[in-house]
Amino acid sequence: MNIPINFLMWGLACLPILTLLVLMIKFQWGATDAAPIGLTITVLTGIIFYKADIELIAAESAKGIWNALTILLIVWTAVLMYQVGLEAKAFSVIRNGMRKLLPNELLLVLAMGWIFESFLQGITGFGVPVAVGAPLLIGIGVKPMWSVIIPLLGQSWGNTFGTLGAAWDALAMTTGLTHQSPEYLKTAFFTAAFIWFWNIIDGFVICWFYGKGKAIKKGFPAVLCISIIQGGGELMLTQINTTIACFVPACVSLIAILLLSRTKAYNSEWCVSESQIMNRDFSESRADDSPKDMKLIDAFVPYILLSAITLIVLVVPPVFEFCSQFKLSISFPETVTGYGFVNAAEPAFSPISPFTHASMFLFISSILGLLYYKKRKWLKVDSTKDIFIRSVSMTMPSGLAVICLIIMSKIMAGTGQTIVLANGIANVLGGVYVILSPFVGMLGSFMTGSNMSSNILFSGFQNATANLLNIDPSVILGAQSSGASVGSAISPSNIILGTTTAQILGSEGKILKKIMVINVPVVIMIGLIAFAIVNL
Amino acid sequence: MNEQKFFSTRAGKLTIAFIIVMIAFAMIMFGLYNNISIMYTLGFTMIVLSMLYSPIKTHIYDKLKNRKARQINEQRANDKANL
Repeated sequence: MNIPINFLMWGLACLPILTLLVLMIKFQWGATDAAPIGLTITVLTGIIFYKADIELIAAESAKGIWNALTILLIVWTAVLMYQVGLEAKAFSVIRNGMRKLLPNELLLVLAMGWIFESFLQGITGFGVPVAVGAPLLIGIGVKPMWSVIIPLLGQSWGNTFGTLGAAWDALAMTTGLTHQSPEYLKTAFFTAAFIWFWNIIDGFVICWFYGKGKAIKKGFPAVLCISIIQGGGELMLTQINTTIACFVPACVSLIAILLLSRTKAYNSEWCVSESQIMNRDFSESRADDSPKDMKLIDAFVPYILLSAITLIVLVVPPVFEFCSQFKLSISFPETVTGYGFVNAAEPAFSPISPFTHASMFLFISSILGLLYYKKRKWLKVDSTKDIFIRSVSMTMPSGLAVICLIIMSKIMAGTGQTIVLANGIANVLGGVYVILSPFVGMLGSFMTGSNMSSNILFSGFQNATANLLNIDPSVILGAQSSGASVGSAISPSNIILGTTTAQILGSEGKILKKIMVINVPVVIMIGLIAFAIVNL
Repeated sequence: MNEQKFFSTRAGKLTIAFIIVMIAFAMIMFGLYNNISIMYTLGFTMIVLSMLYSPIKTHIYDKLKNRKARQINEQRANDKANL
């Protein structure tokens, strides 16, 4: 590769991301409007300055669409599940039932916005916790914007070791870490330690959003207890089995929150009446529309089915092996830029395994849920068509934005802009680069919407930079993946999943602004901790 | 839901844009497999144009339309005042 790494090239590589941020945060444009502008800049920069030809740009666009489709399948099926519940009025039952089960409203918000999302992230990931969690929170009376923000924060700690360790495996594979070798365990340790730090902050931030200092004081024991289980449990399990390092603690925390609701501190009604995140009018106006004979367990049927199907398929090895043998993929030719930046030919690009894909679990559980509600007469005979039409019309606008964002990240990577961006930072900063290493991870998941993609994109680079600077790569790689995990909460393609199911499409900028205020300082802190560790 | 009505809404138009992107995807893949440059160039152009529909409509076309409507209203108000 002969791409000149200078300020002009670096600035040009930065331009699409800066444009996206400015349009979304400063001018409050929705992702559907901002992403095409970022994409246009990326294409022009790629062709004019990075010497990419149209074949490369077209191939990277097609790769982007293929990757986006795997995400969109999840959005469509998650929205279908939401529409089934909405039509059957299951969310009213969930709201009333969960209120009785968890009389402490703060604990209820933590359970529905943090614990349940962690559980979903542990098994499925790929934005499912956000898409599924947002309507559930609206169901318990949380304002739509907050019902997107809270799951985004709640699920983000589980991104590296969640989805049964997919993102972690990508990091280990990219950097050549041998399974269970001392380097592997050391890197896993630092990654989990940084993530634990983020996990505990997550809990307290949700409390702060709910009721500022009053809620932090009330929620302190619960957050501490849950964080020890989730963050501490994950740290411990990474030294034994990284595949279940997030899933097992997430399941234990589900039980723990129910046990906590029986304790003296949380077993009675408690709420902050002036909470900024709660829609008190909504709770009162919708109080009576739930079907009288529907129990809480009935309302949760699609979610219980989702958890059961996912667990059976992903955790039982013979079932997983059988289901994962069916794969769909497309091939791409090799492409090269004028600077000699090569995108290797892909005989089977990003294969989708339809029977182990989260969208299949969501689709089956939605259909079974629909049949169950119909059998119990909670759905009208002719409601199926309406449910499907509403699901399609609700998801199409966000689909375009997701495709656009992923094409943008693919073209940036394929033309060499991403590598120039990262190299420029490392070259200028030298040893101080350690502080910014989690930012590189964050940048990766901001662009691609996935911790796994960020690790695939930047782990090799981070590893090489650490070796170049004579720094322990395990700390840098830990910072990379934890930064990516934190960054998943600010990724526009993740945010849009929530705004779609919460029906507030176009509010992505507002949400991004609220979350960035928390995530950026956390990433700085992770960077500073990493810097202190390597300089000890 | 009335189909005619749906496709005249923003969601409906974006659905059309989405369908165009899917067609363009098929064209790019066909062009890449068979090395037909015109096919993947056309496919990519279709993607960019479909993507740009939303920002152009919201931030240029609608704003110009609103400005024009405002100017016409102001003109009418002035004419009335002059009369």
